[in-house]
Amino acid sequence: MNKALLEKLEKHGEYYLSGFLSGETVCERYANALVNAFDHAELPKYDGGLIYPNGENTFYPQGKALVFHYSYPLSFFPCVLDGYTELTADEREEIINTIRGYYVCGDEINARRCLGGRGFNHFVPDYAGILAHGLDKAESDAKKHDNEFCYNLLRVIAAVRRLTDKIVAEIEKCPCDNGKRLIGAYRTVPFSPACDFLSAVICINYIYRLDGCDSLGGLDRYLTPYFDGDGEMAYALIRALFEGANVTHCWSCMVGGEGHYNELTDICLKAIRTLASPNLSLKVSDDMPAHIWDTALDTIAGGGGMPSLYNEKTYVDQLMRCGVPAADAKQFVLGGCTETMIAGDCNCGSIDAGVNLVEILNDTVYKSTACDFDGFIGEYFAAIDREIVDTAKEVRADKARKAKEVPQFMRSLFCKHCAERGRHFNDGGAEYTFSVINVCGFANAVDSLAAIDSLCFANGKFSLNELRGFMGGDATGDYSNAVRAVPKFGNDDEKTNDIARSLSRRVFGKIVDCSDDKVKFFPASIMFSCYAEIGSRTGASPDGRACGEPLADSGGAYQGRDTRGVTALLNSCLHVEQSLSTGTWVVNVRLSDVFRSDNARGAVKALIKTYFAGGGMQLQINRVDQKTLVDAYDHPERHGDLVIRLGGYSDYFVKLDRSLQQSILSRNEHAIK
Amino acid sequence: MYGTVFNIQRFCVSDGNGIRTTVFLKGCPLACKWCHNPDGMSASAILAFYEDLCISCKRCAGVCDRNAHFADGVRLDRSKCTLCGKCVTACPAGALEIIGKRYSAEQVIDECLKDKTFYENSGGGITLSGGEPLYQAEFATEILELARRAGLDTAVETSGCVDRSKIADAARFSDTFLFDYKVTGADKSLNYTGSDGRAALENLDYLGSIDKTVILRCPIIPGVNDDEEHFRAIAAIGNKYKNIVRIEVLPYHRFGLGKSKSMGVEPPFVAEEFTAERVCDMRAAIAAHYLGEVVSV
Repeated sequence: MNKALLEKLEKHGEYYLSGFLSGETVCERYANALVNAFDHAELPKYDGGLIYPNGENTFYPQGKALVFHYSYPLSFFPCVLDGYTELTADEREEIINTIRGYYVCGDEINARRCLGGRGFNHFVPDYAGILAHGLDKAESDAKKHDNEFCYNLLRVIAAVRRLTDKIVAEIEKCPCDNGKRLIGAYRTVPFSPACDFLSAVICINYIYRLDGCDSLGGLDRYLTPYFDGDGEMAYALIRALFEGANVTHCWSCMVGGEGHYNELTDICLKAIRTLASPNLSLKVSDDMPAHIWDTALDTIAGGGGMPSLYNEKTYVDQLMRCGVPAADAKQFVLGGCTETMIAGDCNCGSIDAGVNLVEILNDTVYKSTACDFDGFIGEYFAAIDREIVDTAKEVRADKARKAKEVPQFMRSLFCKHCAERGRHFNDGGAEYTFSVINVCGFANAVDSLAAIDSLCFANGKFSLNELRGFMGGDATGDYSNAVRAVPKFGNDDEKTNDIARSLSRRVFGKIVDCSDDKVKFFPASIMFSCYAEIGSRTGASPDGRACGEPLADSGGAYQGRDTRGVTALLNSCLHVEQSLSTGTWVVNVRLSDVFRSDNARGAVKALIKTYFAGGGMQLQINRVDQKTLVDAYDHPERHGDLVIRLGGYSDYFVKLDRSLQQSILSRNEHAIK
Repeated sequence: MYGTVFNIQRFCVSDGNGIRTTVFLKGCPLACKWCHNPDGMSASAILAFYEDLCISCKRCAGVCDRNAHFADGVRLDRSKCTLCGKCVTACPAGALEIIGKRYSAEQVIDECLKDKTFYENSGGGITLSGGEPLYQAEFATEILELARRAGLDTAVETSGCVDRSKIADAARFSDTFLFDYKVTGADKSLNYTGSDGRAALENLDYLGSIDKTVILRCPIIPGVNDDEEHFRAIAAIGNKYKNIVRIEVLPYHRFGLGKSKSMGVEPPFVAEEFTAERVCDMRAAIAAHYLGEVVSV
């Protein structure tokens, strides 16, 4: 591309785009983009704070036509070019055609299978290794290989070195004690090993930002070797790190684990309070000390829904069954929402694709010729099998494209083995390649199967044609009335529990079976906020859910249908074959203010321990917040399960008198404040 | 044998130690004006109607053989209702519910046993409540006996206003009693609860004589018993019996009002709830004279 055009783009700060266009090969283009972005990065003014850089991540400015993203290789917004009036139509067209010739995230995966993600990618950098050895190690490793990837990786490393010098120069503009300490830290990290706690925090912050602000990994574990016992300073630095992570929408951070609970774990659990991110999660093991339990429950009681709790043993066991050696399995962390990966050495497709169990079920209903429920289940399971096999095939094809076309230099630089092997992140540089497949609408599918069995086959009250009538939009008919009385998943009912077990075994087993030496496929239920969007494009289902309504928001019951209490919900969830759902089977639990008394706190602790002892993987406990109460007030039909506890008494919120609901709304707000 | 139960609530954390399942039995000999479980007073089942959930679709009217819904300008005529439950099934909004269902003692225990592991890990178990659980004394005792055989910790929440023999039978299989002390003074008690309270005090004395663990539960009602004389009386009882392990203060709340409304009856008593500060002060007032632990739940 001609130099004049590149200069025009750079006038608008399009350094990443300009760099990309200036290369010839794909490797050269991506390296040029990064080098150009770093060499022209506008750093924020240093304000004398404890850590720097802070605030928004300015290494990769937003609002440009081509934006760096840790997962989307080419995050391209051609409309931005329209504002650059000096570009001719031909030049604009040339740019667009050039960019569009390259791989875009999830290209090989059918858009229909984009259920929370499509060829997406999360990663936790090798923070521990970089703290211990510095980036100098990656540089010397890369020098041992004579290939295009390593040649360009070395160019990127050199640009990071220049960027680091710019950071130091910026700090020097604001003479202060904090600044002096920061400059001291940057004399070592990130190229040399960290020498103290401050330099370790600074290094993690810097790597996190260079990686594009994805996840912080096992923070307390990484920092422990550098902790000097100054808890006050450690809190201040971790809080500052979290505040920056909050501004940059960090995904995940995980603390604790067997043999790794210490003062820093406690500090992290306290430092997260009042922040929305990172999603702080806590590994729970048998040796978790009482004071860590107390701090965790205090933080949960604060109302932010953090930390979410993870049963460490079941993750380690599952990973080992998948062939991950024990030493690595114990280093599992979460990236993204809650996707399982091995710290620093894992290319995790999360979420690569999804399987919409409701859509497949609906399709089966329309096509079914079954005479009995067993026949129907057989048809449904066969359709699920086909869908999973096709999904895995597309994911493999997508990964093959990435191996050829997407070097992901930053991830390659921060991944333990890429430079050592001379291969990039998507081309075998990472030791592990996982693919998380999102299983959507599980509770809807279970409830639907219970309804079909009960209403269409067991008593023959409705034909499949009548069911199709309901699914076609007749929400006022007898079917919609009858389906309400059918037991629903999440109430510890034997029939739905059995269906949940057989359905989960089939689905998870099939997904796991798609694994081979190259890719491990992990089933998961990671619905974060996508359950509404996926539901909006899913037709009415036999469980009585209307067309366009949200799907289940987690691996637990459908919203509002679990009316028999939290123990019933968890017992039902333990019938799901979670031992195969390595990608995490998320279960949301809403509890009202049960954290006040010692007995109630002890009960919550016992609830968690019992669930985990039974094989539960994860629990997200939310103290009922004001937003939920307001929604329950406005939409009681969505919150049949919402129990309010007050004065030693509890009742279903939606059954209370309106005036009382109003008074609780005002009271709860005071409590939260 | 069979009895009438109006709720089996799992994960209760304030009805005794640990995680508990509380079984609410219908029927009560008292008529406490502030009762927060008015749906438990009557021994028989009733149809509750939650007016705020009703969407006026009139499906209830369509399935009712007795013309009890939306007839003659009346939304629900309970005098015509036979509790057949057709309207409950038909209602798409969950606005109708039959309060009170027949259970066998075995069915109750089967339901409770589903959470056995939660009890074991928390030191919890089952609690019988009501109404007054010993109003259906034989049924309650059978549940307790079955629970004991199944290795469950057992508790009974009682007003104590029942025959001694019923308390004694229940005590054979109950590990703990959550024993109400409501009002000080026989006349006042009669006025507000329908009982002079003497039987309750005698039964409390009996539980002391057999050294049965008791948690003394004291509902505090504005304008009725939120006074120093009552607080001293509570503390005195607590000090008198060494089998009382703690005193629990239950401040008045208005949850019963919505239930009364759903049953189509006017609540006999309405008051403002206490502020958190006042609850704290009342707890302290009892603690000032009591040698043991006072908590509010």
